[in-house]
Amino acid sequence: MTSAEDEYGQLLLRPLDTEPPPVSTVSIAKALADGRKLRRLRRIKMYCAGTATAVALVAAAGLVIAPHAPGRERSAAPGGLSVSGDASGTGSDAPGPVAAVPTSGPLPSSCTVLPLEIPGGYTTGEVLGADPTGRYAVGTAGATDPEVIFWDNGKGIRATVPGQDPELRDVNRNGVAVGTSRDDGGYHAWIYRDGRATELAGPNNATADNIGAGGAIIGHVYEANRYYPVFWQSPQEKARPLALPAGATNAVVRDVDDNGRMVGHVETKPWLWEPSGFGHELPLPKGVQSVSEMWIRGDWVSANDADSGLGIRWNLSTDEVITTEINSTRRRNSARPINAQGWMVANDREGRPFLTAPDQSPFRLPLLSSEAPSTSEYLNYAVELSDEGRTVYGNSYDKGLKAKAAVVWRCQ
Amino acid sequence: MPDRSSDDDYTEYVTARLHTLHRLAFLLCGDSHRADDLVQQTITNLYVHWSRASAASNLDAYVRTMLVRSFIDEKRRGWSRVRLFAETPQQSVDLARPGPNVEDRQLLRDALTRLPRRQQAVLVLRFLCDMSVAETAEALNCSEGNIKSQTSHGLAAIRRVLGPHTLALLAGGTR
Repeated sequence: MTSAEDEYGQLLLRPLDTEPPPVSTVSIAKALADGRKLRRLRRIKMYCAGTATAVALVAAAGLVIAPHAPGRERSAAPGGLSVSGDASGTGSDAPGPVAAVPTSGPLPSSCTVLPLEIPGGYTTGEVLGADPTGRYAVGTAGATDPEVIFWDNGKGIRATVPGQDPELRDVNRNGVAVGTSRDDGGYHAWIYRDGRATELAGPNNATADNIGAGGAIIGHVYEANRYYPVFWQSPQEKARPLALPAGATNAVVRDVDDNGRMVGHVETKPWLWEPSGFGHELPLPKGVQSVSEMWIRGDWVSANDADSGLGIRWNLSTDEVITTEINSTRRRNSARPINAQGWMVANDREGRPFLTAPDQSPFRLPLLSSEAPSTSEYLNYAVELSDEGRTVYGNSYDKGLKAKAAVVWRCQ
Repeated sequence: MPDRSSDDDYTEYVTARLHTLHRLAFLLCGDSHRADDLVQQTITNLYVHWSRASAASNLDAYVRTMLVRSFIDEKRRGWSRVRLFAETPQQSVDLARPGPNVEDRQLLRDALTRLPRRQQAVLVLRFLCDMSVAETAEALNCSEGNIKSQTSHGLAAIRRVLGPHTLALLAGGTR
């Protein structure tokens, strides 16, 4: 039965009853792709909640957080380091799915630290970036007015980047580097290949901080009262702002992978951007409020808990979140780069770098000087860990020079 | 690892229903680009919940409810879907496209968008999608009495906004 009100309503709204224009942008393929990601994230969230409960119970009992999962060796790190090689299984009965960590080779059993060759008679240098194969590295030499250095298989050459305070900050597996200089007009972003620097297109006052093998580059644009993260999908294109949530005022992009995925933080939350520039938050383990530093290699992302020094690793392919109790008293600069196997270099409570892998005992890297200064984590640290895990670029304190030196760790 | 047969079922279903979903979204939103976004969001959520949704006794009603609820609560949109670019995206308003009754549509659309979203949804579902009070109540997860009162309040509010234009609309046009 139709009431008078029904008839009235139908009559009144009739003009709106029109056929819409054809569907223009809806994509079932995109729904499938996004839906799969959301399914993974849902599993991560469910899993994090379970893990956090277990961690809280262990912490409340006053125990060192370490894995109990069957078949996993609990290990004491060198120098009294308390490390949960894989805190994903904080208890064998930990609720939630625990995905298998991808098979990776054993951590090295020995490493040698070697100063990198510095051309031009300089005694000090600093590595700023390296490629994931272990072949290329970039950095600077000299304490005042540093020169830009490009290392190829350990052999350094001076690179020319126009402008003041030039630097190359990262290099990809093809030997293509990116960097920044400045002049009175602000920053200039550069790409460096085949011995020549070319300015990148895009907004003025931009930096180029990192490059992936596919040519995606990340950086930041600085304006009078703010800065925001940008990306170049390729060196031929202009920089575009990365998509941010409405109202976000503080966002930083930290790293880009060979497939163009990018990581950083928005406010204090870890963020993963797809190659399109659209992104989403990565779930934090319960109890972690904010992150600093972010790295991505393949399906692995690493970050630092800004408050506790806890190392966090996300496995994007298995939805696993691994927390590593680095036990660092230093809140910054503790978790460092990650490689495609999920290995990570971190700094322990004494500021000494060590190599850690899921399920394996950590391995401490040797230093140029055995005496580590109190600010060791700022003088001894890794910048890049190669995917096969046998080459680590970074810096180490040289007691004789009373300064940090550019080094490479060669491991077996 | 995606379940291929499940994905095929999903794709087949969504392909067949895309036009219907887009029409409903268009009636709710009033412009096709926003409707596209709403449908995209709905079919993405549908994929996430496909195993549960596909077991529903009335899948069409289930999906329609997902879409309407997404419309009512836009805050459910994930941050990753929020777009922020240096250039403001071009605004798209399809209401103004030429054709008969453009002015009527604009007047009504303006009046409708002043209502709370839930009331908008009630009116659209009942009078443009020909859904019964019971069906609308199920879609919005509330009582039939609530739908009836929302209908009355919504129509009264539109009447107030339209004022003297109401009679012209009921008579079949303003010209």
